[in-house]
Amino acid sequence: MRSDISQDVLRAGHAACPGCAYPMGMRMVLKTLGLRTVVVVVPSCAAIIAGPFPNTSLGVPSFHSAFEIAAPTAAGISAALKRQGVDDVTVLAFAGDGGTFDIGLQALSGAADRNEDFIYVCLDNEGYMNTGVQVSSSTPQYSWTGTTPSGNTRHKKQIMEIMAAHRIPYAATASIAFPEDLMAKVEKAKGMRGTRFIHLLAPCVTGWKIAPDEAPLVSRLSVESNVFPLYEIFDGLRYEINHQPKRIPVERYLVLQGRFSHISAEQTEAIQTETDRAWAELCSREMRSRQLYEGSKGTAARVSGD
Amino acid sequence: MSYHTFLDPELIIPISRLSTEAFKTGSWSRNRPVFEEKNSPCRVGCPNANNIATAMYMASKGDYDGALAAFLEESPLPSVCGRVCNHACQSKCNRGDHDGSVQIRAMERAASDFGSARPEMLTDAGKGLPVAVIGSGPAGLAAAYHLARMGHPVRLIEARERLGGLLTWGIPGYRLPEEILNRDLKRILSLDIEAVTNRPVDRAGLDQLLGSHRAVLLATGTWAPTPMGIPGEELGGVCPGLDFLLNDALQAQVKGRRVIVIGGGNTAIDAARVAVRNGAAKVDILYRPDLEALPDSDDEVREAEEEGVHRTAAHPVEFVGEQGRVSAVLCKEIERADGIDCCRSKAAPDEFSCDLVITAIGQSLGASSLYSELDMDRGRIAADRQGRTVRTGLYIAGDAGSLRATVVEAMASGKRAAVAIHHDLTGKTDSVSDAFAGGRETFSLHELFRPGPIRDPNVTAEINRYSYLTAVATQPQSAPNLDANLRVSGFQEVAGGLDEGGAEAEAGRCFYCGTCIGCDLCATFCPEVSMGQTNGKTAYEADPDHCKGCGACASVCVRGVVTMGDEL
Ligand SMILES: Cc1cc2nc3c(=O)[nH]c(=O)nc-3n(C[C@H](O)[C@H](O)[C@H](O)COP(=O)(O)OP(=O)(O)OC[C@H]3O[C@@H](n4cnc5c(N)ncnc54)[C@H](O)[C@@H]3O)c2cc1C
Ligand SMILES: Cc1ncc(C[n+]2csc(CCOP(=O)(O)OP(=O)(O)O)c2C)c(N)n1
Ligand code: SF4
Ligand SMILES: [Mg+2]
Repeated sequence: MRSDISQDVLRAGHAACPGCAYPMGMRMVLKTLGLRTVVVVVPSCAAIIAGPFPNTSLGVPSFHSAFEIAAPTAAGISAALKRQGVDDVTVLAFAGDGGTFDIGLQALSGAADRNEDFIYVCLDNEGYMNTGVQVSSSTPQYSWTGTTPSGNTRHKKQIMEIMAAHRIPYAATASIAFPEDLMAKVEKAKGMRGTRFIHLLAPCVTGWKIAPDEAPLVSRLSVESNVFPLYEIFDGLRYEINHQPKRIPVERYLVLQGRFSHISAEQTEAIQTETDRAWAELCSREMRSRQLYEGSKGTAARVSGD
Repeated sequence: MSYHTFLDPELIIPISRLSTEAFKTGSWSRNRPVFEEKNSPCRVGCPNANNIATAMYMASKGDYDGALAAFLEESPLPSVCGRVCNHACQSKCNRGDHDGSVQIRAMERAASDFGSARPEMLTDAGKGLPVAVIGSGPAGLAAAYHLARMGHPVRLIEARERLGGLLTWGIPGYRLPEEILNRDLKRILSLDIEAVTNRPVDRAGLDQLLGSHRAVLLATGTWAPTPMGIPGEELGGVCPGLDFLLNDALQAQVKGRRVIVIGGGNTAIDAARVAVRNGAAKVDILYRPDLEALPDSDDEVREAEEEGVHRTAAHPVEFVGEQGRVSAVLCKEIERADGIDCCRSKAAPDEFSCDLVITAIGQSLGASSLYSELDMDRGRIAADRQGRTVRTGLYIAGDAGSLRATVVEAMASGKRAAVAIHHDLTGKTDSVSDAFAGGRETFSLHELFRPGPIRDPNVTAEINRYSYLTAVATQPQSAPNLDANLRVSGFQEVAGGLDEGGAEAEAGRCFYCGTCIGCDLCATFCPEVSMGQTNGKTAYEADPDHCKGCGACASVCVRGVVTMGDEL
């Protein structure tokens, strides 16, 4: 996994908070895609990291679009490139969870419905962090945010199920704590056509109230506790779990984060129960889909309209 | 107007053409990562400071030559220690509480079984400065080996007909086969060492050697028995453990007899197992829990018990006899002061009848004119911590100068004495104490001769939460022992060795604490694209212009090499 800095596409000097997981993830994604890439960013911490005019940290052509339209912007650029006969450039959209789960959901759904040709990486820090930590539909239950001072009452929206329902060729969860897995998924997505979606959990040091050096640890725990399992969905149907977790109690994940410091033992128990349920369901989906779709090798079930 | 100019995007939207690298975000940081390789806890735990982490890393890649070379940096006897060392290193392993210590001793054996390597020369500064070493046990062998590596012509003088000291004459072949010991001996003798056997050195000989050589090392061991000091010890059929192990005729006498061995250590257990192999009808060990340390490794006790040896906690007070031959051992009731002994002991009857008694309660220096002008300390020859005696030019190493009677301690003291001699003869005295690990006697010779600054011996690598979280729990690898029924009929090696695959897997369990293996995690995780190796250097360094001091790099360094430095 030797990381040669000269091969990096992301540049230093950006304005992310110290220890932020965004640039860790963006770095790994961009490095895998390489220089033949066009990036779309929308308002989010990713747009901050991309840099203030006239400076940029993205070492490839990039486009700042509006909050809700990361997907259609990427679709448009991708179509325009094809129109010009350029077919070796990957179009990548970076959007936050607010821009994906909430305000960008309709636009993303439309693009996915048409199976437009781009990779969409949702950098999920479970809240509107850039604007000072407000709740989003990705914020987990019981979590503190500025707008849920006594804990979020809603559940985290299941974006992977929504994306799977579009039957796009590829959707995957990924974590910065598993760089090899993340980069392999990006590489795999790069080799496909159509709408490819990567749900990348990226802890926010400020919003999650963790120490600046804890993003890798907390990310790792999110996977090992099953709160955020690593898996892929091919064609919206065939599930594949990529990492057998250590099944560490969720409490060890939660106690590290100040945003959960107020929760009760019952709430911790409830999170554990829900985590176990979701894991069991994921496992059974994987098993069921393996029986049903054995042999289908992740080729697009539907081909792009054009 | 052409189509192209009409659509020039720069006319309608701003385009960033400069890099954010212009922003020196390094000014945000309060501290910076520090790359510093450190001692692993096992290395500090090893009295000989073996470079275990490097050896494990080599072995994990299937490079047994490299693994063996790493052991040879500090030790001339990896084949021996891979079998009989009491492996103090293993109890310090950071994996111990996680899923079981890395089986370092088994790995040392694997390195010596599968690898081949030549000892590395350290300097030729010892050229023309001859040294004589008296005694060829582990202490003398180690001293000769290291002195030769520092360029000294070495004369190794042994009283008995073969080299090896207690490795040859004491430790039986079922634990240390002769051909295995020979493997190490051959490697040692490939250096500039003139070995002379059948040459007991007396006082006149010593004085002569001190005249003909620039320094002389006494590594003569402790071969005199320690008497029990109880009535009846002079009876026929009572013999000291080492005499028994040395003497085939004595061993032949046990056939069909009831044998009692008194003592708790290696000699007692080995005497009992040798008695079993010579056809004794019954072998009992009586150990005195209040006086004897239990043997360092439980394995040996277990193996002896599997072979039919019984152990009983008892305190012998008298040997009783009939017609001048021992017939029973009388014991007093033992005080069970500490809990550990109670669990092991069966209720001890007062009288154990027997045909033969082997006493093995420890060795003594014995009287010799060699030592007459030297100071004594608790029955051993007194010296400074590097083995300098009161007599100029005369040094001491091994059991003769220490109560810690193990192969590795003897070997380590031989190394310390070798360096003392080298430094005294070459007039170099600096930096020795710097190379002592952990403020103890543990001493890395390789570190002393490695170019560059000496690794801080008092700093042990500390691993972190991420280390354990990312480590997949795996059971230590093991190899089966020879079946107990087969063992007792001969002197075949009891302990099985790992096969190459098993050894590779076992080495892969190591964290390589304190040793950078270039895993690159620190660089991979740096959100500032600032951590990396510069100009082909192996060390990782943060770019001070952009490192924000977040500590992510240190948090993922599972070996404790990268840590965060003090506030700037
Ligand atoms: C039965 C037994 C089992 C043991 N098992 C273990 C074990 O499993 N693990 C472990 O770590 N330790 C074990 N030990 C202890 C270990 O063997 C000793 O601590 C170690 O060998 C001491 O090394 P040394 O070099 O000081 O002396 P020795 O090994 O005793 O060697 C001294 C040498 O000096 C020679 N010599 C003495 N006087 C003269 C002279 N005047 N001229 C020339 N040569 C002379 C002797 O012949 C001998 O060869 C065991 C000991 C015994 C007796
Ligand atoms: C249409 C629109 N509404 C609101 C905003 C203000 N705004 C900018 S970033 C942001 C939060 C984005 O949250 P998320 O997408 O989760 O990204 P994060 O900041 O957490 O990286 C908001 C609300 C905007 N730029 N555009
Ligand atoms: S991860 Fe990068 S920014 Fe953070 S302390 Fe290490 S070198 Fe500095
Ligand atoms: Mg967000």
